[in-house]
Amino acid sequence: MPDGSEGDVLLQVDDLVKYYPVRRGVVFKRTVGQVRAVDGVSLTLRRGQTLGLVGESGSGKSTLAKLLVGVEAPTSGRILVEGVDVSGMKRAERRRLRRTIQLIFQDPYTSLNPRMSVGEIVGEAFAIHPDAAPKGARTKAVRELLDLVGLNPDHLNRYPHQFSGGQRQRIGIARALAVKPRILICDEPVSALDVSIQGQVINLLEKLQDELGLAYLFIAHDLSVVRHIADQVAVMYLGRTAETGTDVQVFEQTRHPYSRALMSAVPLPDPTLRDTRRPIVLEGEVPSPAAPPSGCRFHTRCWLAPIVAGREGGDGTGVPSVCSTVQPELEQQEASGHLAACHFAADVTSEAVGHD
Amino acid sequence: MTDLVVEFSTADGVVRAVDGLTYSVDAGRTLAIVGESGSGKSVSSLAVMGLLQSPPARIAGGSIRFNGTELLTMSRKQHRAYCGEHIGMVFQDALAALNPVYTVGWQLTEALRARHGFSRRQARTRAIELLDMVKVPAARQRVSEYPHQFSGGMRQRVMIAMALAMDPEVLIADEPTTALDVTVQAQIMTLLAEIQAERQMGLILITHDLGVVATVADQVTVMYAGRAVEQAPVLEAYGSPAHPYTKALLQSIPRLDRKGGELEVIPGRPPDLLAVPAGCPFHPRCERAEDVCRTGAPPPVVELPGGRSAACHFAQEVMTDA
Ligand SMILES: Nc1ncnc2c1ncn2[C@@H]1O[C@H](COP(=O)(O)OP(=O)(O)OP(=O)(O)O)[C@@H](O)[C@H]1O
Ligand SMILES: Nc1ncnc2c1ncn2[C@@H]1O[C@H](COP(=O)(O)OP(=O)(O)O)[C@@H](O)[C@H]1O
Ligand code: SF4
Ligand code: SF4
Ligand SMILES: [Mg+2]
Ligand SMILES: [Mg+2]
Repeated sequence: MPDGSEGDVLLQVDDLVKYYPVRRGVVFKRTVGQVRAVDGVSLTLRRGQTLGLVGESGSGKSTLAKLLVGVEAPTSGRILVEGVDVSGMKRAERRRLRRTIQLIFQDPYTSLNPRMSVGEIVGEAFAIHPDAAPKGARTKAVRELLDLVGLNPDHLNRYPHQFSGGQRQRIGIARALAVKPRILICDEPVSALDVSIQGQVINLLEKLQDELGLAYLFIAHDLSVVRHIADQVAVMYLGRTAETGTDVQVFEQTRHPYSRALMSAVPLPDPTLRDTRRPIVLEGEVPSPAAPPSGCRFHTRCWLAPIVAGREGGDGTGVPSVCSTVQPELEQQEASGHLAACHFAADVTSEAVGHD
Repeated sequence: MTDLVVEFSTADGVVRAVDGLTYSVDAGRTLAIVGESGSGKSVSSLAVMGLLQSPPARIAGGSIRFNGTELLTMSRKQHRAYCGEHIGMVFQDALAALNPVYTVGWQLTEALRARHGFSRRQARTRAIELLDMVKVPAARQRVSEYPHQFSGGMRQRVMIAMALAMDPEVLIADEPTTALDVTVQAQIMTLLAEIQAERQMGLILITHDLGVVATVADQVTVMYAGRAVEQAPVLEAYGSPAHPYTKALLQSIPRLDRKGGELEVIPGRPPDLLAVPAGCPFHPRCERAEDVCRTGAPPPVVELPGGRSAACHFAQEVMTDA
């Protein structure tokens, strides 16, 4: 599906915003500003599809995940789960939604209660969602879930510390699957795992997707993992989407300078490419989301803007005024479904940087 | 380093964290040590620096020489002082390695003040120079700030500056970019490469990232359960791995530059060091294992052409297999 337009839409997010107040003062806390953790994100997730979400630390990925599973309430914007707007729902109502959307955490070491047995952890979901499995059939359901994620069902009386990191991540997956969700939000699900174990968990997630028709929102720092697992990719920068499209569009027909810089910085495991590939080294660090730069949020670190400015005359150090004053919106590129938020998107691929 | 053995006594028994490790690094060259967590990478470098807490740690054998000088026969104090002059180390966790209650400038120059009698003023000037060298912006102001005021990437720069304060001939960097974004990782690796070239420093880079190794290392040592299972120049190790573990690791990682099918994974997990399998420690996970691999002593290190070696009964065949 080249433009990702097939399959039912399970999750639709429109212009989602989450601001956190910045407070000063010890006794009388005053709000002195706002952290714009997520600032106008839209996305669509279809049945059986994996949407990979990438971006530097602090770009708003985890905040987006929390909004989607209902742990946080959005400041504005809409979240439609199977067509139903859930963004304005009360906590109790959101519970129902939680059944459809489950979260898998990054850290398999801290996300499981050490005092509960594996059976209790996985079965806990049935107490919250009693209709997920009839009372008499719960132990059997837990055993089936453990089997499904590749754990020995006879180990259901063991405790989390008796399992390795990869096995604990499997327990977390079994727990998430207990209520038969249709969407899994995976926030860095393999980052804490060893290389050889990462592959096992990735393969498990792919197998479960095929068998159960699950849709994944897959958040990861590691672009190679996202390249492997995702059908659709969204690149975030300072709370906004810089670029989105199919994995081929984003990774091979890149149309945003930030996406291109991110990709160029990933070291490839092939020493023969060493001399032909140079990272585009972005200067500095991500600016604070409490005070994002004017115009295009990326203009303070963009490698393309000075090139464009130089081409248009000037000394080649400044950025075009459109970059520092006008916020670029996501716009359609050549291929349908491929969107990028850059005033000079057409120049991104043609500029020869990052190669000798 | 020759045949280093490090053991820890734990409540459950003696753990052999490093089991006969041998490596060397030349001036101006980069040796990468790769392996999964618990394979002994950090413990072996702490042994070099004389930083292992003993007990529970015990160096049970081997030798570590720097330009011919044996470090392991020195007293702890001598050892630390010697490393202070010659070998710098950057730790995995920069926040934990910095003291939260002292300014960055103060910590950067502690050794200079203590050992070289720098005045506070001289020390401050030198601290600013060091921060400039590792490209911390606004060094003049930031020298008086505290570690928590620095971002992860900036803290790692401070760690590098600190390790370079005494002009070491060798730098050991233990997972210096593991917790950082790829963009910041690229900045730090570029910085390390520049400094290394400028000073002809030997660099020992500990990492689990096979991409980083391919990009910066000359030589690679692959560790498994406390041992070096393969040692080779990077091009050869990646082009024709001679140990099944190296080969499997390279095949199991997803790649940015192509969309693969199902990942080929290594089954099982690294051994518990209290119960390392008999024979070849890798045999329960090795697709090539035969009876000879399952009993007796671990396979000996086989020397291969091109200055390479691998600890596998079938190293020669593995290397020449496509
Ligand atoms: N409860 C909160 N109060 C104030 N600011 C917050 C809160 N939660 C998150 N933020 C801020 O919002 C921004 C986005 O955070 P978020 O955790 O979503 O980033 P992320 O993309 O998941 O980063 P990482 O890759 O490090 O996990 C950050 O600047 C963060 O400090
Ligand atoms: N203080 C300690 N006491 C007991 N065992 C230890 C101690 N420090 C490290 N080890 C063990 O030594 C082995 C190697 O550890 P380490 O060198 O830190 O691994 P890595 O390759 O991840 O850096 C591990 O099994 C670890 O649990
Ligand atoms: S709009 Fe300008 S500053 Fe923003 S990414 Fe494009 S070229 Fe760079
Ligand atoms: S010695 Fe045997 S088990 Fe060990 S790596 Fe070689 S083939 Fe595999
Ligand atoms: Mg996060
Ligand atoms: Mg370590």
